[in-house]
Amino acid sequence: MRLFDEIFKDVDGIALSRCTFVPNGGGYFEGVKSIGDFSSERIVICFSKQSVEVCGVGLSIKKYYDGDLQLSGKIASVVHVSGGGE
Amino acid sequence: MMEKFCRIENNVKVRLLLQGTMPERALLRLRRAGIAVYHAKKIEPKKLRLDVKKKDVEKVFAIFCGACYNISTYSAYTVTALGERGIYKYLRIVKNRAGLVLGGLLFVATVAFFDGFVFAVDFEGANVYQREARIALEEQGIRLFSPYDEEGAKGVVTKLLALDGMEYCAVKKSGMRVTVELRLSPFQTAQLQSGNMQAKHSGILLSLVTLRGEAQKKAGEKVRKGEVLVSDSFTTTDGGQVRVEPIAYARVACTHESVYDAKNETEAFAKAYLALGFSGEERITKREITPMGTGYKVYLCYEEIERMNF
Repeated sequence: MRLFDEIFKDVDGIALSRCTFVPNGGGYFEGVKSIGDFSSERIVICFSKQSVEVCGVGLSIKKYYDGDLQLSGKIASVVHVSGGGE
Repeated sequence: MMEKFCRIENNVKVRLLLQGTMPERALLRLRRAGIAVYHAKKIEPKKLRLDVKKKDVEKVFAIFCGACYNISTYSAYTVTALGERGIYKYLRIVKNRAGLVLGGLLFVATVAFFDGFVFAVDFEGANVYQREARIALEEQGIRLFSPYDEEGAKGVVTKLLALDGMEYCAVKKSGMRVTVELRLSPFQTAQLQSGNMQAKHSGILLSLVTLRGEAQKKAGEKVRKGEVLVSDSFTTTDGGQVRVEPIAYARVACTHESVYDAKNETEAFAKAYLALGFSGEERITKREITPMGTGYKVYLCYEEIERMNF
């Protein structure tokens, strides 16, 4: 959809990182550069310019490849944390 | 087929254990190398368990140089392979132990095939009708080393239940053994035949044993078919007549002479045997077979057993 194309690209037309998650469910994150802290209750996902902290229960990485990360478990919260990169 | 198997093999996932300080940092190196990581979970503060495709395992060990025991290079992380995951683990076992698996399957198939056969027949309960039970089994096709027939077993039960005094009969197959269970009624009394004992064959009476009734013939006398051997009444001391069910046993010497159209002596004798309808208790004392025309003349002397309520 054109709307999503506009939302998920910056002024230079570069695709932005994306987070899609289901409350109390899993999540899918695109544009992941690295992983910071990782435990079954907390995981810090670093994108190119920012990071997010995902908290929940029983968190584990279902798949991580080519910048796409699929999280399984029960996500309770996703909090934006400033700073990011590799 | 082999290409398909290789493709399946390459998609097999191998579980690895990554150990080191902040092992999640190692995921960055794997991402840069283009290695897909599956089911990553931190099991301890310094241990990360993850799955990678089998084709990427060598790359993982190459990335973390020093992970192998025989290379003395420092690495912040150590990697240990824990084995393949899922059904592919068992496919590999089958592939490596093909002979064992094939032998096991062959054994199961052999047992399953021969399970339908009869290798032993056991009798339980009353043994009095065991002979009749064996004959019934033979007639219905249930014999050793032959396939078991469920319909035949029902036929055996029907025949045996018709016997005098039989209360319960069952034919069961357990594994390769057939068990015939016979039970007589505890309240059943023997039904004796009534009337005179008449000769069923003509010949010379060799012996006559009378337990009940009055003998009408003596040993050595000629008897004709239908003649009374033992009467069903006897005279008491005071002249009265009492009716009883005779119990007696007789042996009669008989002869048989006939011409049979046969190709050889054996066939002629077989025809004579069948024509006389022997039950198995008879004893042939003399046999003469002489060629005559297109057949053979068969002359037999035999002893016939006759009994009543005996």
